[in-house]
Amino acid sequence: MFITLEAHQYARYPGLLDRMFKLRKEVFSDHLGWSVTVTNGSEKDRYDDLGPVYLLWCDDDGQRLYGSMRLMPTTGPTLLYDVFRGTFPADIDLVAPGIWEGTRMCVDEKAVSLDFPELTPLDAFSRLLVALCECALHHGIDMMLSNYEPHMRRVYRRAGVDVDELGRADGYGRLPVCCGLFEVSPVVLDRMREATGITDPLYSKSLSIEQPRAIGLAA
Amino acid sequence: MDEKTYARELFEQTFVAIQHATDVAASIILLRDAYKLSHVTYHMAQTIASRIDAPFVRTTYPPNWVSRYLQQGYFNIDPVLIEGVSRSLPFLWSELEVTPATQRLFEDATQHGLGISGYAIPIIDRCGRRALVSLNTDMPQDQWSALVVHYRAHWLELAHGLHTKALVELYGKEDPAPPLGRRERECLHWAALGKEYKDISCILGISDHTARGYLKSARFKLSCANIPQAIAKAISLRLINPV
Repeated sequence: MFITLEAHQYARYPGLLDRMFKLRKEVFSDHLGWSVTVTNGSEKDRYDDLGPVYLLWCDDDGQRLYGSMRLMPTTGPTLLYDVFRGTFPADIDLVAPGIWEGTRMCVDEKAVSLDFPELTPLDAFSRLLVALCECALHHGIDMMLSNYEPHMRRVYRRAGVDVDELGRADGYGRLPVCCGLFEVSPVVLDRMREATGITDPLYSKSLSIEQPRAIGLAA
Repeated sequence: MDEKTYARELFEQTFVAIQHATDVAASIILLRDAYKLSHVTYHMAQTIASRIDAPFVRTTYPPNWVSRYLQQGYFNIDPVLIEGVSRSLPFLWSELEVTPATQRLFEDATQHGLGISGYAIPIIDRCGRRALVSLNTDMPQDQWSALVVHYRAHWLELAHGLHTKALVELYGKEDPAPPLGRRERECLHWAALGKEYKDISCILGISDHTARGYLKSARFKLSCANIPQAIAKAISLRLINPV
């Protein structure tokens, strides 16, 4: 299932978040060789201290993590602006309510292949992208800024996402890192569903043990 | 007038009215009345970044409820407030978890004749300051949810307008606006020459939605309710020079 965790919920799911920071270390530091801060086997930066929203792909019990992404509003401090300021100061500083940045998007390929043997790593990425689109749409976000390595553009395209590259920065990892913008709308979601063949809704907002309940005053 | 145009005009009028209002207290009344809400509250959280000793709060709730709220120490249990200043995504009050304490708070609110549906909009600014704009209604929940989806994009911008107002009230001046980027200026330039999104995207070799994104961002940075106003402001600030 795909859920969001916000700052007021962090304390309830320490295991999931710990695993996410470890996964980020495995993906961004070990695998992609990005110059990110690693402490005690976890990749965590100052933006994680600002109470961001995490989109997590986990099992129904919230025990196993398959993928994650960090979401922050562009009206606040953002990583992409800080990272790309040196190279493309002007072109990626988009600021508006409704435009959010998504960073540290990653998939635990091992966990996915264990529990979803039918999914290739590319399929897994597509699922995360569709869930991201559903999540953004649900919360009234209409545009996403995101960073990715050049070859990932193909993965976005494959998932039906028309991502516009706004700039790229060298010296962050072995490959340049691109910054791209894409639209979120019901039309885009339809196109993604068609491209990926994923028709069932993926995003379920929160773990079932804390399904929202209406405030009842009848008593 | 179709519904979309009506909503757009209502937003633009309210946006400008808030900009011209004397203070936050006057602005929240404007917002409440424009959208026929029951109450509006603006709350800037007490943070290190904000350098203020006490939270800055303005509300349209009646004085008897405000004093009741303070006397009962409801600020210690009010989930809208507590979660609102740590969440980032806007939320319906109906999404909040019910505990006996919050149940008591909401029952008390009902007894004071207040509605118990609402929508809360967290704000995070470039300096990392957090604020919360909370909208309250006595509308039935399902009707309210539909209204929220209809207006939320506008309400988000108006909430940021209240925040800008609060910063002026607290510090005497606005935060310096983030500078317009090259692409934002280019998009405004072509928009000033009467080009539509489609033409602009062709000229600049970017996609439609990216042109829209740049224009939206330029408009937000210039604190304008619509593109024509943003163009006028950019010309008067000599940021663009369309000829």
